[in-house]
Amino acid sequence: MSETVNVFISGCASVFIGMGILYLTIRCTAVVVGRLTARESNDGS
Amino acid sequence: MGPDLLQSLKGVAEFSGFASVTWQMGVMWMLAFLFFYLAIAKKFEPLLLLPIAFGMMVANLPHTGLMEPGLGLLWRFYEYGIKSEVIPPLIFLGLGALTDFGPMLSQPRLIFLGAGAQVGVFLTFIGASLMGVNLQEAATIGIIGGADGPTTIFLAAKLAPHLLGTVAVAAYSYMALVPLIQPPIMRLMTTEDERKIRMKPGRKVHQLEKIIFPIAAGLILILLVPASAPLMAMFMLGNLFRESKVVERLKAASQNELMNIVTIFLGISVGATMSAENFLQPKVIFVFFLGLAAFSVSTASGIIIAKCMNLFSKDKINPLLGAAGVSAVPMAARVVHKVGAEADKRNYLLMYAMGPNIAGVLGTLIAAGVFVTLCK
Repeated sequence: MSETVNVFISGCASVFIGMGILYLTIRCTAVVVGRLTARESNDGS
Repeated sequence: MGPDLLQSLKGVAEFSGFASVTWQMGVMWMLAFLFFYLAIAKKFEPLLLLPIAFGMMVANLPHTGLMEPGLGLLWRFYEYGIKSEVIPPLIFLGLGALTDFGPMLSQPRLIFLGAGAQVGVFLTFIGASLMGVNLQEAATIGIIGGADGPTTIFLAAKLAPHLLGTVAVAAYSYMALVPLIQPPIMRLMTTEDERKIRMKPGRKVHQLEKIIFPIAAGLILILLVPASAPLMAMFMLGNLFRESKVVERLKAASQNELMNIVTIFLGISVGATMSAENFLQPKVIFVFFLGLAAFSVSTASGIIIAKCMNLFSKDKINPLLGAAGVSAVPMAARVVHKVGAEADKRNYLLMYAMGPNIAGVLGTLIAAGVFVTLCK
C-alpha cells in the first residue's frame, strides 16, 4: 500500500511540477520575445 | 477411386482450420464483427478500430501461426513495432506535427487544467490497487483516464502486455464516446452560471515563442521524467517540424504518410494480441469498468482544479474547460464548447478548451513516464 501511495504522490507532484515549470517557461519566453521584437521594431522605425 | 477421394477430403478437413475452431474463437469473431460495424457504420474511431478488428479476427483463426513467436507475421509487427517501442513514438511524431500549441501559449494558466485531469489517472491507479490488482496492471488501467491511445499502448506494452489489447480498445472506445460520457459529469459538477462564464481573450503568440516551446518543453520535461523521453522527444520534434516552417516536407510526411503507415501496423498488431485466451476473462470486464471510472474521474478532477483556480483568480475560468484536460484531442475540446454553448449560445469556448486539451497530452506523457519509472 505504501508503494501505491508513493506512486500517487510522486505522480501528482511530477505532473504539477512539470506544468509549473512549463508555465514559468512560457511566461519568461513571452517576456523575452516581447522585448526582442519591441527592440527590433524600434530599430526599424 | 471412391476411398481415395474420401481419404483426400478427410485430409483437407484435417489440415484446414475448420476442424479446430473453438467456441471461444467464435466469440472473438463476433466481437470483431461488432467492431467492424462500429467502425464502418457508426464511424467510431475507424482509423484504429478497423485494423484492430481485422487483426483480432485473423489472430483467432486456427493454425495460421500469425502470432507464433519468432515466426508469425503479426507477431513480428507486434514485437518490433510495439514491444520495441517504435510505433507509439512515431505516432507521436505525427501528432506533434499536427498540434498547434498556440492556444496553450496564449493562456498559459490553463496548462494546470491539463495537470488536474491526471489526478484522475492516479486516483484510479490507487482504486485498482485497492481492488487487488498488481501495480503494473493498476498503472495500465489508470492511464486509460488520460484518454490517450498511443500512450496507453506504450505503457501497456511495457508494464502489462497481456492487457494491451483490452486497454487499447477501452481507451479508443472511451475516446469515441467522449460526447456521451463527459456532458453528464460536466453538467452535474457545474452550475448554469459557471457554464456561462466568458473567457478573457488570450494574448497574441509570436512565432518565435512557438519555435522555442518544443525545444524548451522537450528539455525540461525529459529532464523531469526521463522515462517519458521516447514519446515526449518525438512529440516535440514533430512540433518543431511544424513551427520552424523550414522542413515542410518532413512535417507533411510525419503528419500524413508516416502517421498513416504506422497506424495500420499499430491497429493490426493491437488486434492480434486479442486472442480468446487473453480476452475472454472476467478481468476484461473489470478493466473496462475501471477504465470508464478513470475517464470519468479525470473529467471531474479537471473541473475541480478549474474551480479551485477560480478561488484565487481575478479573471474567472469557465470550469467546463477543466473537462478538456483529458487528452482526447480535439473531441474533449469540442464537447466543452458544445456544453458551454447550451448555457450561452454566444460563448465560444473551443479555442480556450484547446489549451488544456493539449496540456492534457503533456500531462498524460508525464504520468506514463512516472508509471514506467516506479512500477516496472
